[in-house]
Amino acid sequence: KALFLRARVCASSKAPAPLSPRSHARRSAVSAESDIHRSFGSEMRLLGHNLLASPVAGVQNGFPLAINARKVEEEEREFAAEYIVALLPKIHFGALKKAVQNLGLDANGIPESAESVAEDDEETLKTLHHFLLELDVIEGDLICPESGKKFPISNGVPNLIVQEES
Amino acid sequence: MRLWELEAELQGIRSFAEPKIEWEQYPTSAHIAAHMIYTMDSSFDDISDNVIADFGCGGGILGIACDLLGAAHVVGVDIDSIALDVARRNADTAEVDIDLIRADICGSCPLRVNSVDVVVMNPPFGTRNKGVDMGFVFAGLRVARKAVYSLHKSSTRAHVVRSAEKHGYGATVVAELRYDIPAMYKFHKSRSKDIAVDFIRFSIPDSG
Repeated sequence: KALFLRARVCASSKAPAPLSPRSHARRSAVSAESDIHRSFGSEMRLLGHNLLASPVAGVQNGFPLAINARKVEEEEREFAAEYIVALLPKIHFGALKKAVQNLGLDANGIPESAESVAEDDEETLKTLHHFLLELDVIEGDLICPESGKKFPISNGVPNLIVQEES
Repeated sequence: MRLWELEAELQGIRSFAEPKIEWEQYPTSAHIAAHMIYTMDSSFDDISDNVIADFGCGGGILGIACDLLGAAHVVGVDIDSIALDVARRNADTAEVDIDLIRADICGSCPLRVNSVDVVVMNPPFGTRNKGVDMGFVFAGLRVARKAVYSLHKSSTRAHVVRSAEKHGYGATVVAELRYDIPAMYKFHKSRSKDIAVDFIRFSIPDSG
């Protein structure tokens, strides 16, 4: 058995932060009787794609990766406005727009920046919720914009290991 | 969620069926994972509403714990596709969404600079592949905006702290723990071995 000894805490302990709206959303999605089907686990969603850049050595402009999707599923997920608002400053909107266009969808509802979104603009928040969280890329490729190297997505998991060419 | 509740929820997480020695795969116990993530949250406010990456996620226990404590978004990265299969099933069991990515963190980490708030990891200790422990840490420090949390053998503490500080990062030993590694590989002589391990928080300057 492992023991966690002597935690030397730097900052003074503070009261635990309230549950983020995200966990509220998940918990109620699970416990409520609802028609919303939830399968958890992993699929590549655009929120995750927003973090990825080309792993190819020497590439200067490797972000965002282009998406060539062969299989995309729409999965309804419970909307929580406060959660989307909390995510806004962390999103690269240019990359999101390109990703949505790669999937053949209309990206006109996507704002330019976090600052341009009013907290009560529910329509924009719902649009962002849909694009970031409800589109699951199951099969396809991610493509480095500079080198053209392809990285396959299978079963919702992108493989970004750079294969050595022989 | 209380610490004991988090630990209880993590008990159902399954680990490597056939650990691979060349990648130094060791499971992280529910006890250690719960303490790490709970401390990151209650002492440093680095979990709730944060975007978090779990480097070398294996079965995903650290990332799953982050999601259970209210992280805004969690992504798990590992080089082993079998481990990622296990992580997917564990995320399903725990009823959390985590994005999974197969990549070589030390070789070429595919997350862009400053794309996440926090990186958490239980990296390979570097017994097989020298320097891989700090390789993981520096990859994390490129990608994180605020902090990197990691486990390192206490015997390497001076080297780890010095290495981070030399590059301008802060390094604080948050806690010491004893890590029980059961005899997993054929060459392990004793039934299990306790090693002293540091839980370290690396901070990025100008971020707190």
